[in-house]
Amino acid sequence: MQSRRLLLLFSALSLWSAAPGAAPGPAAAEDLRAAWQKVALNLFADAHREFLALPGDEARLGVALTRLQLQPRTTANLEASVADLRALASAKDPDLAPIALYHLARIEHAHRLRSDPPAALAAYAELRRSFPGHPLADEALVRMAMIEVYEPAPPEHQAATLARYAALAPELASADARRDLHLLLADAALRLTRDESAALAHYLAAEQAGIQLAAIRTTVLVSIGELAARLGRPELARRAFDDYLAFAPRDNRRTLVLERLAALPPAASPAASLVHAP
Amino acid sequence: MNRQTISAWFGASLLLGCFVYALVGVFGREREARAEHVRTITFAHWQLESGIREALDALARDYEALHPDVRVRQIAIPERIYPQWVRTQLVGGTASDIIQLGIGMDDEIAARYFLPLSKEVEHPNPYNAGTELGAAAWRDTFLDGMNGGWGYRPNLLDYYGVPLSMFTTRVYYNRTLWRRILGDTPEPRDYEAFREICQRVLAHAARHSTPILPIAGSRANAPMLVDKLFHSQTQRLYQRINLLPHLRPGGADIGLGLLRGEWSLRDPAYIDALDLMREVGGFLQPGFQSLGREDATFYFIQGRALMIATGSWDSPSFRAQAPFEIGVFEVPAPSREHPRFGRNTLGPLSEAEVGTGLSFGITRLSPHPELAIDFLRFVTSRAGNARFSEISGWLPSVIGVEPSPEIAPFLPIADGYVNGFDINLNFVGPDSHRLIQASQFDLIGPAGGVDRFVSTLERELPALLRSDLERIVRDSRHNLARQDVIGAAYLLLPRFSPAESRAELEDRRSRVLEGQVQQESYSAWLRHELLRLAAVPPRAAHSE
Repeated sequence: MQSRRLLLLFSALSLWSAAPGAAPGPAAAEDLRAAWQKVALNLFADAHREFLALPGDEARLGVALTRLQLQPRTTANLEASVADLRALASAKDPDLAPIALYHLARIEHAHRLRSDPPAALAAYAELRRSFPGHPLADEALVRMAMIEVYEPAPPEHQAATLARYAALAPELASADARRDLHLLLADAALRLTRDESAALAHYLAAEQAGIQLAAIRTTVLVSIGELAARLGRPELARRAFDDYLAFAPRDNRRTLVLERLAALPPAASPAASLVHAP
Repeated sequence: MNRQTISAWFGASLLLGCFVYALVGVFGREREARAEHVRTITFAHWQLESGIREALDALARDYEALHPDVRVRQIAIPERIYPQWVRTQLVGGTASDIIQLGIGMDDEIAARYFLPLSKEVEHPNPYNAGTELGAAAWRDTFLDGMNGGWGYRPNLLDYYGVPLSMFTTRVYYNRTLWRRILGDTPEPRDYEAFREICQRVLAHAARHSTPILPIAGSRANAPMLVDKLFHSQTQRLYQRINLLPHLRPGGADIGLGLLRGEWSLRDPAYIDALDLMREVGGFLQPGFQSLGREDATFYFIQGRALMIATGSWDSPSFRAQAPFEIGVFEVPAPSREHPRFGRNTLGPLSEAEVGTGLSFGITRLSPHPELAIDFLRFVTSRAGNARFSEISGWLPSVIGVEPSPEIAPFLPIADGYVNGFDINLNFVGPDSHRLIQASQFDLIGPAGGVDRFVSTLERELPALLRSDLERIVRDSRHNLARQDVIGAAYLLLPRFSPAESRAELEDRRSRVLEGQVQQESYSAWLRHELLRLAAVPPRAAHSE
C-alpha cells in the first residue's frame, strides 16, 4: 500500500514536471543536451528516463520520441506518444511544433504495425502548410513523394506523379531534401516507368546537391556513367566513370566500369570531374 | 596402503592442487586488479585456431611492456558457446572491456552494449607516427577503410568494430598425395583442368582400391567451393535481373526478379549452375551435407582427401597439424572460353570487396574505455598488425603490412568481375534458404537430379520468397523508426553545441536522412511490387 502511494506521488510529480509550458532553466539545458546525446547513441531507455526527470516541452518531446523505442513496443506506448506530440503540435512553439508534426506523420507512415498512408500524407501536408521553409517541411515532401510514387497505380498515373514531384524539387530549400527527393525519383523512374533520361537528370541533380554516404555516391556515379553511355552522352559517361574510379578504389565493379570506359568513343579533351561540371 | 587407496589419495591431491592453483590465480588477479597503480583490460574472442591466441598474447605482452601500469588479459571462448556467453556477460554487466564482434550479434546489441567509435576513427592512430600512415585517419589505415564486416554499421551510421584481419577462401591440397597421384600436373587454372584432376583422383582410387576422395566436403566447406562456381554461372543473369543501372543488384532483387518473371528457375544459366553443382557434388564424399567442419578437416589432415576448400583462417592450423606439405590455389571457375559454362560468366570473380574481419568492439560498461581504445590502436598499428600477421599466419587488415610467403596466396584478388548469386538465396531470407538447404539432396544425391530439384523449387519457392520479402519490409520498419528518433536528436543537438561541432552534427543528420530515405524507398518499392504481384496472375506479372 505504502509503495503504491509512493508510486502515485512519483508519477504525479513526473507528469507535473513534464507538463507543457514549464520553461527549462540553464541547468536543464545541459541535462537536455545529455539526454539528446544519449538518443544519438541509440541509448533510448536511458534517455527516456532522463527526459522523464526534466521539466518543459522539449523534455516532453524527448519522452514522446524515446517512448516509441522502448521495448517491448506496445500500442499503448505509441498512443501515449501520439497524445504528447499532438499536445506539442497544438502549442505552436515554433521550435518544437514542426518536429511534433513531422513525427506524428512518421508514426502514421512508418511506426504503426500497419501504416496509414492517407493519414501520413495529411500530417505531412499540414506540416508543409504550417511551417513552410522549415527543413522538416522539406523532408515531408520527400516522404509524401515516397508514398504517392509507390502507391499501386496505372503506369500513366505513376508517370504523372513522378513529373509532379520532379517539378517541386527546385522549391526545396534544404539541400538534403533535394538530394533525397532526386535519388528517390531517379530510382522510381527506372523501376516504374523505365524513363532513363529522367533518371539520369535526377541522379545528376542528387550528385550536385551533395551525396554524403560513400556507398550511395559510388552507386550513383556508376549509374550516371551507365545511363549516359546508353543515352549517347559519352563525355558525361566518361566523367562519371572517372570520378567513380577515383572515388572507389576497392569496389568490385571496377573491371566492368573499365570495360565500359574502353568501349566509349575516344575523348575529344580530358574529362572534367562531374562534381565541378557546369 | 593398497593400490586403490594410493590412487584415491593421488586423485584427491590432484584435485586439491588444481583447486589451490585456481584459487591463487583468481586471488592473484583480484589483488593485481585492486592495486592502485595497475589497470587491467580484458578482451574476449572465439578464435581457438592455432597461432591466434599466441599472436594476441604477444601483442598484449608488447603493450604491457610499453605501459607498465597496464595488464592485458585474453579470454578465449569456444565458438559453440560464444553467443550465449557474450549475451550473458553483456546483460549481467560483467563483460570484458573488449569483445570480438560477430556470431550471435546484431545491430541492436551493438547499439545497446558497445561504444560507437566514429569520433576515434577520424583521428590518426598515434602508434603509426613516423610511418606513411602517420597523418591518416585511423579508419583510412585499414585495407577496406573499415567499411566491411563489423567496422561501419550502415543501419547505425557508426563504427563499432576494429578489425585485425581479413579472410578469403581457397582450395588447399596435399602436395605429397598430389605428386603420388598426379605427378607433376600443375595447379588447375580453370574449371576444366580442375574437373580432370578430380576424375583422375577417382580413377586412381578405383584402380588401387584406396578410399581417397578428390575433395573433402561438409556443410561448412562445400559451399566455399560450390558457391564460387555457382557465382560464375549467375554473373550475367545477375546483371540482367537488375532494374537499376548500377551494375550490382541487391539480394532481395534476385527474389523479386524471380517473382516478377525477370528470370526463371528454368533459365539456362541457372540450370547450368545446378548442373555444375551436381557435377562437383560427385567429387565430395557422399552425405557431405550432414557432416561438420571437423569431419572434413579430418578427411584432409588424415590424407583421405586430396583437396579441401576452406578459408585463410585454417591455414595456420593445417600447417601445424598436417604431416604433409600444403599447396593452395584459387577456386577454378569456368573461363569465358568454356564450351558450355563460358556463356554465363563475365570473367574471374572479384574479391575486391572482401571486408576485414576479426573485429573487436569496446563495451559500454568498460571501466577503462580510453585504455581499451588505445590497446586497439596499438594492435592495429602497422607494426602491431604486422606482428599479429606474422605470428598468427592470418592476413593483415592494415595497409602496407607485407604478408608472409605462406599467407600471400590468400591475398584478395582485386581484379575481376562482380559475382553472381549463390544457390542458397540467403540474402533474400531464411524461408527460401531453408527450402533450398532441405532440397539439396534432391539435386546432388544419387537418385536426384536438376529437374527434380527445380520442380520442388517451382512448387514451393514463390510463396517462401514472398514471405521473405514481406519480412524485409517489416524488419526495415523497426530500423526506420529508430532512425527517426536519432534524426530528431541531431536536429536539436546543434542548439546546445559550440559552433565548431555544429557542422559535424548537421553532417551526421544529413547522413541519417540519406541512408533512411534510400532504405525506406527500397522498402516502399518491395511493398509496391508485393501488392501488385498479389493482384495479378503469375504469368502476367512481367508484362505489367
